[in-house]
Formats: sequence, structure tokens, C-alpha cells
Amino acid sequence: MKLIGAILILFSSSSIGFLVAHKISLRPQQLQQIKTALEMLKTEIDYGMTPLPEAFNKLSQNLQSPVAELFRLAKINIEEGLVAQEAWQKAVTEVISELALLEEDRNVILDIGCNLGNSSSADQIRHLQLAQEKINNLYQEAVLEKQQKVKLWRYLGVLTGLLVVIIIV
Amino acid sequence: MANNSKQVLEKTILPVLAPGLRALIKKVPAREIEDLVEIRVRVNKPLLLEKVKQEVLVSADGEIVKNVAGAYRITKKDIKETLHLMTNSSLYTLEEELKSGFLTLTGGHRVGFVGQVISDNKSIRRIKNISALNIRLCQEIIGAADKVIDNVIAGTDDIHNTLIISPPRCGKTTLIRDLIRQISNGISDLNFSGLKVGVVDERSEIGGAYQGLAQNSLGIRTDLLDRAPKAEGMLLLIRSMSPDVIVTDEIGSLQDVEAIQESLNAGVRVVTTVHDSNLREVKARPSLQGLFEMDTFKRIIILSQRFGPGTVEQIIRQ
Repeated sequence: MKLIGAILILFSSSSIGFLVAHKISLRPQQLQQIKTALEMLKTEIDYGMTPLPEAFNKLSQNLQSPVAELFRLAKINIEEGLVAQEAWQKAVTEVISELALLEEDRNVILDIGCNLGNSSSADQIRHLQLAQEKINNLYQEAVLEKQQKVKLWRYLGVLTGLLVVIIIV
Repeated sequence: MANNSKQVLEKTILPVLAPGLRALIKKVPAREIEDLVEIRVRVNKPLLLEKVKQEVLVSADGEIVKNVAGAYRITKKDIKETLHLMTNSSLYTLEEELKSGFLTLTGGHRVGFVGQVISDNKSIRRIKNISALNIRLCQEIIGAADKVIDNVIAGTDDIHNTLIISPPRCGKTTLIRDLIRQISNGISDLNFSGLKVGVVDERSEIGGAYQGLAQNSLGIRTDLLDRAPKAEGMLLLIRSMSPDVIVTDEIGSLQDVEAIQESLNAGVRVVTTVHDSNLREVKARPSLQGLFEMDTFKRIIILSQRFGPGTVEQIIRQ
């Protein structure tokens, strides 16, 4: 009986550690995807002169979920009559809980919507460039955090479990 | 036609208006706007619905008001949202349009706009901070040319060179559009077989083209050259599409006249229009004189607004 309890405690505590670690390692991955998405969007706007809904559609097909979901929803929102900024920001708020991103990431991503679609292509490119740089900074930070904290959280989970088991038993 | 106008409004105009304006116009009683011609949207100014003979002011609740003080005033946000919807949130795809000051909606409606111009070397590079829009409803009236078509055609497979003289908003473009359709399709009742028609549509008014594709029916033998400068466009059509008839709207410059003469020399018939109210004034225009010296036009149709747009005042045969 004691053994089963001990195993359960150890298992759940380690899982929590692994879960947090997983989330930390997902963040740079998703930021990287958004960075790529912005690059693709730039190409669509600059060379393709593709209208936003169509460009969003292409992106949603070429990216992985849940980042793809962001563009898919934004496209639907535009088609339902929202202006690009609102369409984007609504999509972000809907998807953000599925992403492993932090508050600061969310704000930068929301900001991308501000100038979306409302100026000449040269202007659009400049805005997207700026957004890309901001995302890139966050990405660097996230990579660093991953290196430092992923192992830490895993060990922490397992060791806390062990500690509790030892104390109780 | 009244019903038609309302349908057109609901199907193609309202969806691209800012949600606030859309709700407002939806509340306006249908009979008040059955002959709507233009919607004027200017920042900080009242929303104006222009009908054929008068304009209508609307309050914030969608009621018709007489006094400007009670009228709904357009906000900057209204214009911004409208532009977003009209351009599919992709203003960057319309760089040419931002230069020329108008864009065409699906359905062929033309939206003119003004704002702050960015220019270089005396030419307009683009317009930003757009402050006013003029949405002109495109009224395609099938059969608008029924009253004049038998004067225009000559035998079973030829037409007369025709000039339409009309003041603005008298249905000149509507008439020429239906003429194109009938000449192109042919008319079995009059035993007239269709001809190949080349249309130079400098301001996208005739075809109401959206991404190069005519939104109005222009007939089965019609080639539409959208947004081309008239003179160059006419010559291009002759070279590339071998039309029997060339149609263009609102001629005026010396180059236009030269291109028309070039077309006539190539054996092509010409149908065109000119902004004016009578033949005497047209003949007095220095740039157009070349056309009258040689009696180019065998048929001259004069339009007015006396019994509503599209009233045929006179048909002169020469």
C-alpha cells in the first residue's frame, strides 16, 4: 500500500516538472514558427500582392497547429467583415491559451495587427520587419530560458517527489 | 428598377461599408433611396445620399432629416473601416488605384477618394489619409439602348459611327454599355448579327471590371481593355484584337481624336461619348473639330435628364 502511494506521489510530481519543462521548450519553437510566418507574409505582400485573406489561408496551410490556427481564424474573421486589426487580435485572443507563450509575447503578437493591410506594400514590409525583430528578441530570450530551465524543472519534479516520499514514509 | 436598386445596394454596397454606416443605411426607408445614385462619405461631415434629383440627410437613427444639425456625421473610423472592407483589408494590393484616386468594387461600382497626396515630380504617387469617399452606384440597365439601337445599326452586319452627347449623370455610360451588349450579341429581331467589339474603359465605368474581369454584361463578342489610356488603348485593340467596332467613353483630347481617326482609317467603326449638352458646343471645342470636318459621325444621340436619366432628346442622322 505504501509503495503504491509512494509511486503515485513520485509520478505526479515528476509529471508536473516535465509538463512545465515541456511548455518552456515549446515557447521558442512557436516563436520561431511565428517568425517564419511573418517572413512568408512579407513575401506574399511584396512579391505576390496577395490580398490578406488569401495570404492568411496559404499560411494556415503551410504552418503547424496551433500557429496555423491563428491565421485560419484571422482569415475567417476578415471574411466575416472585421477589419484586419480586429480580425487578427480576435484570433490571437482565441488561440493564445493553446500556445505556450507568455504575456509579453502576446502583446507583441497583438501589435502585429495594428497596421495590417492599411498602407502601401513598402510600408507593410517595414511594419512586419519591425514585428519580426521584436519576435526574434523574444525568441532568443526563450531559447536561453529553455537551456537554463528545462533540465531544472525536470529534476525539480522528480526530486520533490522523492523528498515528499522520504518525509512521509 | 427600384427593387433592383435596393438589391444592388444590399448585395454589393452595404457589405463593404463600415458596420456603423451599414446599420444606418439599412434603417433608411427603402422608398427614400430607391433612385440612389451616389453615397457621399466625408470625415466630420454629414452622410449624404444623393438621389437623381435631390440629396437626403440621415440622422444617427436612420431617419430622414431636413436639417444638417440633426444629421449623422461621418467619423474617421467610418472611413477607415469602409476602406478596409472595400480593399479586403489589403490596401497594398491597390497601389495603382491609390495613384488614380478611384477603385472599382465587385458589381462595377466606382469609389472615388481624396485625401493627402504624396507626389513626386508633379505626378501623384499615391493618396494617403483618405478623407472622403464617393460611392457611385453602377446601374446596369439591360435594354437601356432599345430606343436608339435601330438608328445605330446599318444593315445586317454593320453599324454607323455614333457619338453620344450628354451632360453628366444623364445615363450616358448606361446607354453605351447596353449598346455594346446589343451590338456584340446581335439582335435577331432586327436581323442583325453581332460584331466584334473592342472596349477601352479608361475609368472602369463601362465594364465595371474587378481585377480585369467585366462585372456588367458586355456581350459575347466583346474584348474589354480595362483602365487603359483611351488613345493608346484604341490602337492596341486594333493591333491585337481586330475589332469591328471600338467603343470608348468621354473623349476630349487631341490624342483621342487622332486615335479615333486612326481607327476609322483601319476600317473600324467607332461609338463614343462626349460630355456636353448640345451639338453646337461640342462642335465649338477646338480639340474635337477634326471629327466634324469630315462628318465622321453618321448618328449623333443627345441625352438629357428631362424625363429622368437616359432621356433621348434628339437623334441626328447625317
